Amino acid sequence: MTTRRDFLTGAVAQNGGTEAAQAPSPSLRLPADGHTPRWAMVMDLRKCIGCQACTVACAMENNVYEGSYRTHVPVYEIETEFGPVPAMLPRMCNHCENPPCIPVCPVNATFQTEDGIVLVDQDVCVGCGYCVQACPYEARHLDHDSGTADKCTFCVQRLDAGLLPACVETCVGGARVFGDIRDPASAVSRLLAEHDTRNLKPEAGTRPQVYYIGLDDRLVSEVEIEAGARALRQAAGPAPDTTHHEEA
Amino acid sequence: MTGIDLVSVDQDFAWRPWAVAYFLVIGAAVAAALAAQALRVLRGAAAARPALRVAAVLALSAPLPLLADLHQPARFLNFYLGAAPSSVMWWGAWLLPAFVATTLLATLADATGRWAGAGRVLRLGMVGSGLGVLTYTAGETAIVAARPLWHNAGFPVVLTLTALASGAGAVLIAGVPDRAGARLLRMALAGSAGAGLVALGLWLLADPDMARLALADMPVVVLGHVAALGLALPALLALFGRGALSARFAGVAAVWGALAFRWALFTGAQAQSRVETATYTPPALADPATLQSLTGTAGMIALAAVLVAVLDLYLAPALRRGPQAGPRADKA
Ligand code: SF4
Ligand code: SF4
Repeated sequence: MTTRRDFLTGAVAQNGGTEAAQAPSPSLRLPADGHTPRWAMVMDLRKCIGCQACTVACAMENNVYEGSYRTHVPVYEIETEFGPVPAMLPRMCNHCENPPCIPVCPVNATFQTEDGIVLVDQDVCVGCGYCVQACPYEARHLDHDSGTADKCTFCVQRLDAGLLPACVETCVGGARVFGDIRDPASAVSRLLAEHDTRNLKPEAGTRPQVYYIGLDDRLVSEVEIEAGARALRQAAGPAPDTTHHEEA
Repeated sequence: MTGIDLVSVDQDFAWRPWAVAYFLVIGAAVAAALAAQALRVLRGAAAARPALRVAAVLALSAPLPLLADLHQPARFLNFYLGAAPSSVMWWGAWLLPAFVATTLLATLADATGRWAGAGRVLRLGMVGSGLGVLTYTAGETAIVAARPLWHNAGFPVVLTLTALASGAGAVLIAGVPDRAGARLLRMALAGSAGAGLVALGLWLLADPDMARLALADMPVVVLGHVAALGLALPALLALFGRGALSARFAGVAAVWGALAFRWALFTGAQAQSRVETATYTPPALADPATLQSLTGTAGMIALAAVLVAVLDLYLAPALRRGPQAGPRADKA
């Protein structure tokens, strides 16, 4: 599990002592050596138990509208030689290196920061939904309250305050690891060096920056599923509380 | 089979029924404008007048459903405060007002019989921006790689052909007194609807993956409906029907076909989850969102028709009687 102390180890070493560890730079986005980070996340699926703590922590931290998600953990039941087993697949914005959501925006409201975080300027977005259509990972939605595009920000407000993303901080199994892939000493760099990692939908050419350890081949791209939760959900019809939300 | 999904989350459609209405109205508006210009060249200004009036009504109506589909419509000026040339939608934000403005001004010039030189430039602008609008509406959807039902060669072709058929159909519904002009429009309708039918068949039948994808969220009955009632029927009525009534029926069927195609493809494509665990519930015909877009768009078309009629009956004669207008202008 990444703790803030583990995360800062690299910076501490470079700052040269415990004094610096006690008074680190308030923003994780401004490393002591002045380099520009490239943020990424590693999902260690061997450790994910599908508890949805990250889903809830994200919603709480970012005030995500009830019923919408910036991240969630789909759970599949897949066949193996030992019979059916559950497979967790935490999903979120991949903060892609080649994000198709950005060039389609007609008002330049969606953009990528120098450290790789894909963000939406909520004051500029007209809520046209074009970026929602363009994201191959369904990582965006239109927020009911603001009428603008909403998505994972890697909790940029927390990074600026020297904290880790809420989902990482809360993950009980330590399955979510966040860090700077330009720092060879970071936890993510070490995991990427030591493990065979995969990205989702590599054929989309988006170069995602969320990496998975232990991702089953059958979950990498289009997942072939038979009637499960989605089919049940579809059969149930519209959510009963939709009207309540729209009236609120 | 890989397995089954044990968790599902609900997601909303990003483009609501207003988008279907916009794509229908703007496609028909451009097609009517192209028909007006073709009839003017082939049959003269008087024969082209009904088509130009229909184009003006539809062009005036189109921005309403477009704005209504934005979730922050009051911010529409943001489209013009910066340049986003990589976005097809940004180009559309310039092409649409250019088309609306040139169509309305060309209609005004035609109604008053004045500004002959400017009228030619305006009609040229109307045709140019109209072709741009057809290109952007087809391109905007076709470039979205994440939506395989749009991102292929067949969808933009059928979208454009149904737009052409619906525009010719809208003019036939309004009525074309010039018989030769009406015949030309019927031929245009039959040609575009027939070509649309062939393109739809080739697109879906030639590619098993596409057919599987289409059938996953669009029942055969929906696609059959588009093909039979929306494309084959208007083509046959336009080809073999006689008289104004059958021309109007052909027109209604062509407009219905364009609407049904857009509805099927916009809801079908958006209902397809790209992560296989999200549930998208397509809007039903009786949903408030659907009814709002239908009544809103129909109301706007009615209002635009009144405005264009006022232009024709009151404003244009007043302008013709203006100080520069001579006796010839009165007779025009
Ligand atoms: S995952 Fe989707 S929203 Fe996130 S950067 Fe990639 S394309 Fe954009
Ligand atoms: S919804 Fe907002 S961020 Fe997305 S493309 Fe439209 S204006 Fe840009």
